[in-house]
Amino acid sequence: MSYGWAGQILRVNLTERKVTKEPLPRDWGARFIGAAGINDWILYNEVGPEVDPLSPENRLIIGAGPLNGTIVPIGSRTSVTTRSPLTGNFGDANGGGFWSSTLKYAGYDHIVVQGKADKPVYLWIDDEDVVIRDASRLWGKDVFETDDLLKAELGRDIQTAAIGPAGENLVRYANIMFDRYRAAAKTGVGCVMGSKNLKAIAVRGTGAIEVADPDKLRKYAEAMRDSLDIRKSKGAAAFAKYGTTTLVLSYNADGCLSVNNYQGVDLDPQWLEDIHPDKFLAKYAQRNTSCSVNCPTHCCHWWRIPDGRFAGEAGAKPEYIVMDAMGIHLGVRDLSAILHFQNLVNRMGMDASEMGTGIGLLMELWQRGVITGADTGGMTVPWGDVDAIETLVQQTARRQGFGQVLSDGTVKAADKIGRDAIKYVCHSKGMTEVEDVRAYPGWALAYAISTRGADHLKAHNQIDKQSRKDISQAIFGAPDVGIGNSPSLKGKSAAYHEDFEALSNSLGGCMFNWLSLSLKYNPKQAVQMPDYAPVFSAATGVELTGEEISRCGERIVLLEKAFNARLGLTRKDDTLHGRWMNELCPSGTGKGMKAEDYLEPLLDEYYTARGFDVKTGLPTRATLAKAGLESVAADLEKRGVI
Amino acid sequence: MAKILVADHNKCTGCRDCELWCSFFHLKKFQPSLGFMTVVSTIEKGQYVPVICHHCKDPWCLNACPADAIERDQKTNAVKIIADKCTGCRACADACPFGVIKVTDAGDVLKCDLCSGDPECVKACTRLAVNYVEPAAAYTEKAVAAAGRIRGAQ
Repeated sequence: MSYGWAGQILRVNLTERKVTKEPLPRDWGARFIGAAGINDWILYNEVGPEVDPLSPENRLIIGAGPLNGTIVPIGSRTSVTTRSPLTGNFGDANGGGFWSSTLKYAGYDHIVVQGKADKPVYLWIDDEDVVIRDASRLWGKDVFETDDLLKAELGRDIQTAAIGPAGENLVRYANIMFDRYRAAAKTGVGCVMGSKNLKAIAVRGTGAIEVADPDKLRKYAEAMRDSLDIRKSKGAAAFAKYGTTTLVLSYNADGCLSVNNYQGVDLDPQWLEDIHPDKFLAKYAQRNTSCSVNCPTHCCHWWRIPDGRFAGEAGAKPEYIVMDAMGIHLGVRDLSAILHFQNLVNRMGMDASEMGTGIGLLMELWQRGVITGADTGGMTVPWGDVDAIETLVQQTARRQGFGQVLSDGTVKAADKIGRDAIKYVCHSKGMTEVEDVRAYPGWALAYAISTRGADHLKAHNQIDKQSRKDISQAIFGAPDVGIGNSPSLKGKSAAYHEDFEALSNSLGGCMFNWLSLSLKYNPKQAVQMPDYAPVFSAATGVELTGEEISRCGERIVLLEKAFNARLGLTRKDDTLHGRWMNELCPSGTGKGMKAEDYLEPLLDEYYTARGFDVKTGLPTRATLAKAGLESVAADLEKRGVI
Repeated sequence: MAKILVADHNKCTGCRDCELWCSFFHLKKFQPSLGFMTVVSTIEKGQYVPVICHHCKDPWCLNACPADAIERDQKTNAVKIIADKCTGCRACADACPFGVIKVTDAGDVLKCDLCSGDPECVKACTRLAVNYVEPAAAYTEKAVAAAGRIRGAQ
C-alpha cells in the first residue's frame, strides 16, 4: 500500500509503442519528495549531456506530488521536466489544473515519455487501462479544439494535457496546457512533446489516494486552511478577489513592470487606469474559478468581453505575466485585447513571456528604425498595434511569414536579425522574462542563478517585495532581506528561497498557497520549510524531520545545478544580459540601479551559502556528498566537471 | 426546524473540495468520484454546478427501496441508507434523478447522510456555494444578489 503517492510511474516508449508500469521507489519519495524533485532525479539519471533536446532519447517527465489530490490546501500542480530545447540546459515548467490530481486518482505519480511516435498520437489513461492512440485528426488543432474533441470522444469527466500548433511546429518555447487554461509554460516542454509526435495526454481517474495517518492529516490541513481561507483571512480574500492581476498595481508602485520592452518600469496614470485590476473586475470578470483541487483561494477568474472588436470572447485568468508580456511590454493599453491575447497564446500553446519579449524586441527595433518594412514583409510593428501582435503570434506558432523569426526564442531572434539587436534582449541562460529586476537585487540574483534561465519563480523572494523586515530578522538575523532595493543578504536569501521553491514544487503545491499568502497576511510569522514535515509525514508515512525536509529542498536544487554543470555551465552562465545588467533603472524606488553594480558580490555570497566553489560556481564534492548525492558527485568527478 | 442542504451555482468555482472532504470523511481516503455530490464543470463556459443530494420531501430513493433500507432522520432531515438493511440492489441509485447515489467497486451503495447534521462539504466550501440552512432563509441571499443585478448595483 502506498500512502500519499499513488505509487506508480508510467513509462511510455513511443518508438516501441509500449507502456509499462513501474513501482515508485519509496526511497525516492524520502529523498526527492515527488513532482519536480523526482522528475529531476529521473532526468539526471536518464538524460546525459549527449542527448539533444529534440532527439527521441530526451525524456518528457511529468509529475504530481505526494500531497496532490488530498485535502492539504496547497493546490495540485504538475511539474514537467526535460532538457530544454529553448536554452539547451535544464528545463522545467509547472502548471495548475485538475490534471495532476486526476492522474493520481488513476494510479500514477509520474509519466516518463521517451522515444518518438512515427505519426501523431495521444495517450489515453483510463484508470488502469493505458493506450497509445492515433491523433491524426487532432494534429493542427489548437489547445481548446483539442480539449473539445477529446472530451467528445472520451467523455466529459476527463482532463487533458495538450500542445497546440506551437508544440507541433517545434516552437522552442511551446508549452503544455492542462485543462485548457493552465500552462506549464517555460523552457519549451511543449516543443519536446511535439518532437515526440505526442499531441495530448487524456486522463480519467476514479480511484483513491490513501494517507498514512488520516486523523493527523486532517488536523494539519484544517490549521493550514485557516490561514488561506477567504472566510477567515481578509488578506486571502483580497488576493482571491484580484488574483495575480493585483501584481500590476504593486509592481507599478515598486517599479518592476516592463514597459515597451524594458524602456520603462512603471505606467503613466491613464495607462494604469485603462488596464487597472478594478476595471477588469468591474467590466470583464464574471466570477472566480479554481485552478485545481485542494486550493481554498480560487484566484482565477472567468471573464467575458462585452463590447468592441473582441465582443463575446470569454476565457479564464488573466495572470500578471500575460498582462505584462502581452500588454504592458508591448505598449497595449486596451484591456480587452490583453484578455484576447491570453486566450490566443493558450490556444497556440506557447509561453506568453517569451512570445511577449520576442514581439517587444521587434517593436523596439521598429521604433529605432533598425528593422523596416523591408524586413517584415511590409508589416508595420509599432507599439500597441493589436493587429501586428495577433499576426506575429499566429505566424510564430505556425512558423510562417516574418513571425517565424521568433519561433526559436528571443535570443535566437536577435541573432538572426543581427544589427546589434541582442542589446535590447534581457535574458539569462537564453531564456527571457518580462518582470524588470534591475532595482531588486534579490530578484536579479534569482534570475541569474535560476537553473532554467531568467525566471521569477525558481528563487521566489517574497520577503523583500512585501517588506517583511520582521520575517527577515527571524530567518536571517537581520532585517535586510525585507528591504527590496538593498543588495544586503540577498545572496544568502536566494539560496534559501531556491530550496523552498524546490520543496514546494516537489510537494506539488502552488507557491501562492501557504508560502506567499501566509507570508503576506500572517502578521506573526512566515511558513518555513520545516513546517511541511508533519503534514508530509502524515500523508506518506515517511517520517522526515523539519531539518530533513529542508535538506530535500536543497538536494533537489543541487540535482538541477549538477545537470547544468554536466552540460558545461559555470559561474559565467549565472548572469544577466541586456538592460537589466547595464542600463540604469529609469524610475521608481530603485531609480539609477543596474545589476552589474551589485551582482558579482551577491554571487560570491550565494555560492558560499550553497557550499559551492566560489570561483567556478560549481557544487563541490563535499556539498553533494553531504546532501546524499554521492552518485552525482562521482559522475561529475568521472567526467572531470568537478 | 431541520435544515436543508442547498447549492448556489453562481458561487461555485469548481474546486471540488466538497467532493474531496466528503470522500475523506466517509471513506477515510481521497476519492472524489465517490463523494456524495458531483461538481459538474463545463470549463469552456466557466460554469460549475455542484449536484448535491436534496434529501427530497418525497424521496425517489426511499420510494424505490424494496428493503426499507432508506429512512429519514427526523433530527437532521437526512434521507439515509441503513447499511444493515441494504441489500446492494442499487434500485435507489437507478431511481435518483440527480446521480448522487454512489456504488463502490465492492458493490456497497452509499449516499449523503448530512454527516449527522454537520456536513463536511459545507465546512469545506470557502466560497459558500454549499450551505446547510433553515429552509425559509435558504434563498434570501440569492434574491438580494438578483436585486443588485436588476438595479445595476451591488
